[in-house]
Amino acid sequence: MTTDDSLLSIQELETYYHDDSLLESESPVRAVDGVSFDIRAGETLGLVGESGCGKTTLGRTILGLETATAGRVTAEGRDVTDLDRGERRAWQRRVGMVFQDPEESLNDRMTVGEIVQEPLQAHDWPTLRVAVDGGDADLRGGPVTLVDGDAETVDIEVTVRGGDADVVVRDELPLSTDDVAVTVERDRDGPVAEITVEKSSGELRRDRAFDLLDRVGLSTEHFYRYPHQFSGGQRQRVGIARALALEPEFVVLDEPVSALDVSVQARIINLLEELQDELGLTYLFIAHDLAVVRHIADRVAVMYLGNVVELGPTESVYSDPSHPYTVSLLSAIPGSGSSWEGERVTLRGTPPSPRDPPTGCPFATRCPAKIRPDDYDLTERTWRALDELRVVFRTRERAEQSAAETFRSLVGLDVAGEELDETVADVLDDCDLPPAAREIVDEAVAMARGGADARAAEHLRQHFGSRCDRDHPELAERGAAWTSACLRHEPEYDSVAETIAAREEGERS
Amino acid sequence: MSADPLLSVRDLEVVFHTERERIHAVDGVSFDIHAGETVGLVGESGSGKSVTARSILGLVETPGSIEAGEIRFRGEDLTEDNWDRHRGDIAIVFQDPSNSLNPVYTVGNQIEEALRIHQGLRGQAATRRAIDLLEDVGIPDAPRRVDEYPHQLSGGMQQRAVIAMALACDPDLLVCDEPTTALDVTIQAQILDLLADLKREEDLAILFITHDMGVIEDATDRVNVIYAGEVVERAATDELLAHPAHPYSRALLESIPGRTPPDEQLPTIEGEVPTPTEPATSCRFAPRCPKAFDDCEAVAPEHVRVDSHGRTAACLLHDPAYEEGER
Repeated sequence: MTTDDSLLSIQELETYYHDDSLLESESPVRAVDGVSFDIRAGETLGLVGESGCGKTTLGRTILGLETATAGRVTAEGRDVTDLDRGERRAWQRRVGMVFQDPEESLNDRMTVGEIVQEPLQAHDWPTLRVAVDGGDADLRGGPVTLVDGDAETVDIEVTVRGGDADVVVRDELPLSTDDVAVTVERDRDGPVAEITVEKSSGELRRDRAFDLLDRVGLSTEHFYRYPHQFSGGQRQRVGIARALALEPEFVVLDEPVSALDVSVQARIINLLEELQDELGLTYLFIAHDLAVVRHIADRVAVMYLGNVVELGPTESVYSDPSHPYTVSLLSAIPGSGSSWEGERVTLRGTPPSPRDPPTGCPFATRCPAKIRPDDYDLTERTWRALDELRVVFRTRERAEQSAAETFRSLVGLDVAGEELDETVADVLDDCDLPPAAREIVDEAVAMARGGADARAAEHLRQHFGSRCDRDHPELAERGAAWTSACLRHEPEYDSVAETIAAREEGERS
Repeated sequence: MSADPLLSVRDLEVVFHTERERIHAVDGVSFDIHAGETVGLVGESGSGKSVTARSILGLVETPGSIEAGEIRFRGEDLTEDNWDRHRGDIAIVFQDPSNSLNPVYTVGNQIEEALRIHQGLRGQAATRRAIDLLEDVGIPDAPRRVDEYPHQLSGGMQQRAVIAMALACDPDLLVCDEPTTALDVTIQAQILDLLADLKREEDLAILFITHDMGVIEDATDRVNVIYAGEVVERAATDELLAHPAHPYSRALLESIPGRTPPDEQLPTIEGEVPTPTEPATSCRFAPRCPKAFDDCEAVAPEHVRVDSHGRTAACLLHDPAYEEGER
């Protein structure tokens, strides 16, 4: 799916966290679990999903702030997850990150000026790249290096004409042509330009910081103040100035407006859009607020439990969501800010643990459009109750057993006791189970009573599970540059929207 | 609506005394809540909405104090130190559930404590009731969860447990201070559904405090918009959303991203919410108001009726004394 205009290509990216202790090794947290997509130059790609779905980890892994355990992130043909030290530093100059909480991401002991200059210092900025046309060059003062005229970025361009020289300085630099002194002398081989930059690195960094503050709507007087003297919105402006210090092409914005009041939020969103236009930035905009993403993003990726389940043009996804998770997420937006016009689809429960994701579709445990097997003719309410029962067993399996419970299970006593029966009765309350199904539930409950919660869950899965519990759906084409990963997209099934509408109807009647 | 309100807040003033100044955090706030009704209080940070919530529960602590006004619950003024008599009639749910739960006691212990204090239930009966409450708030496998510690529950489950704890005292009024702000949107939807069910089933009155206009739209019947310690508009929720009367209400609604086409800039409110250090002598929104005129800086506007449905706004634009020509 690589297109010519892609800035970054992410392929099968995985970030797993292993925390092996000496005694036991738990299964890893699969924060990012096989994600592939491209980020196009100049676009804003929105990344949405609930907390813990892996969106921040994904953003940090792309920047190299977390270590990918598998897969690749390719920029200009190079895998940036596997760079040596020098290359990594070069990559870090090309990317930036803005964090959610401006209160925690700014050092309160540094002035705003110091904060904004910090990345400049860390990367020994500036190294002014000088190209000389029409003669040789002799570089004197200032942080200057000589480059070829064809080099990608040239900071100072000197063109020698006769005994004189023209100087052009790149706009983005805090340097005017007056700060660059050029005298042309002739030696045997022709003209030699003596170039002196009359500002020190320190002065350049300070002036760059002033420029950045101005760019984000702060003023010179803010340079000398400390972050605690600022409001939330101003602090976030400082965070943005810092992220832009090294002129990145690509910026990961991790919930940049979530901590702000709505009126302040609007101003920061407008600022981010202006900066993108002026500087040609590419954004990965991570947020849980779907209305904000709709406003700012060109395309949106929906993430659930480490997987991207839907990716497409923002307006297409918002007006006609394909994946049942996207439908649920959009319908959950309160008020009329939502584009969803149907009934609210309230998801049951919470996402499963990323240590132990479902084997089939990651969303199968909560899906309002889950495919049901043909073996039993049950109402949707009953199917959901059976799913919930399985979640109960799975949760119990993961819960710590008390010493007494461990002892009871060792000597073969009833571990769960009355409370289990109570829970089962509560879950299956007013469900109409046919005898054959009832028998399977009873068998599972008997297993759980003996402490074998995992087996009980598995027993229910074998008999009541469906394709969604077995097969991991791949992203399927839904339209132009629009993909979604749901088994219901296969031709033999009813569509997601129809299924959800019919089931919600059935629930109410 | 003709019956006496369950809660009536009148001209409430809460002042915080600092070394340098007196901050009028709540400055003459008035509103009513009737039984079975959800009333919203919406505003930005620093507007005084949380302080109002705490005042109702008698939770304002030094350096803050209630300086004036009445908080009448069933006709009795709570500010005359009557909070203890109504302890249990009013419960509060805070934004961050992990701060409301004690990490070293099980969820069951904490609910049972509330049941013992407010309803005199003990032992098996209390446990039984605690499990029922957890089931009422939609916690699955409640008989097991009741013995778990707060850290074993997810954020949404913790907030459900906090609501169960609040319900344990069988309140008539539930004050919800940003109860869904720390939660994901799908979990927020679950909690909003739960509160709507509780309101219907238990005839509970709810004061819903939030900064989120979407939540206000879904969860409340009537709404009060608060700015710099003052209620600036009071209206039925759907009326407010359709035709905001006060310029601040309008600006707040417009700055929500969902209401502006994506290719347009978001309308913004310039400047910052002021900290009210003096009693109001002018309209506090005037310096940021796109419609301000000279008198806005000189007169503190009173609430005036805007329509026949009892909607009021504190804005000179709606004051009949200021006819079109005089502005």
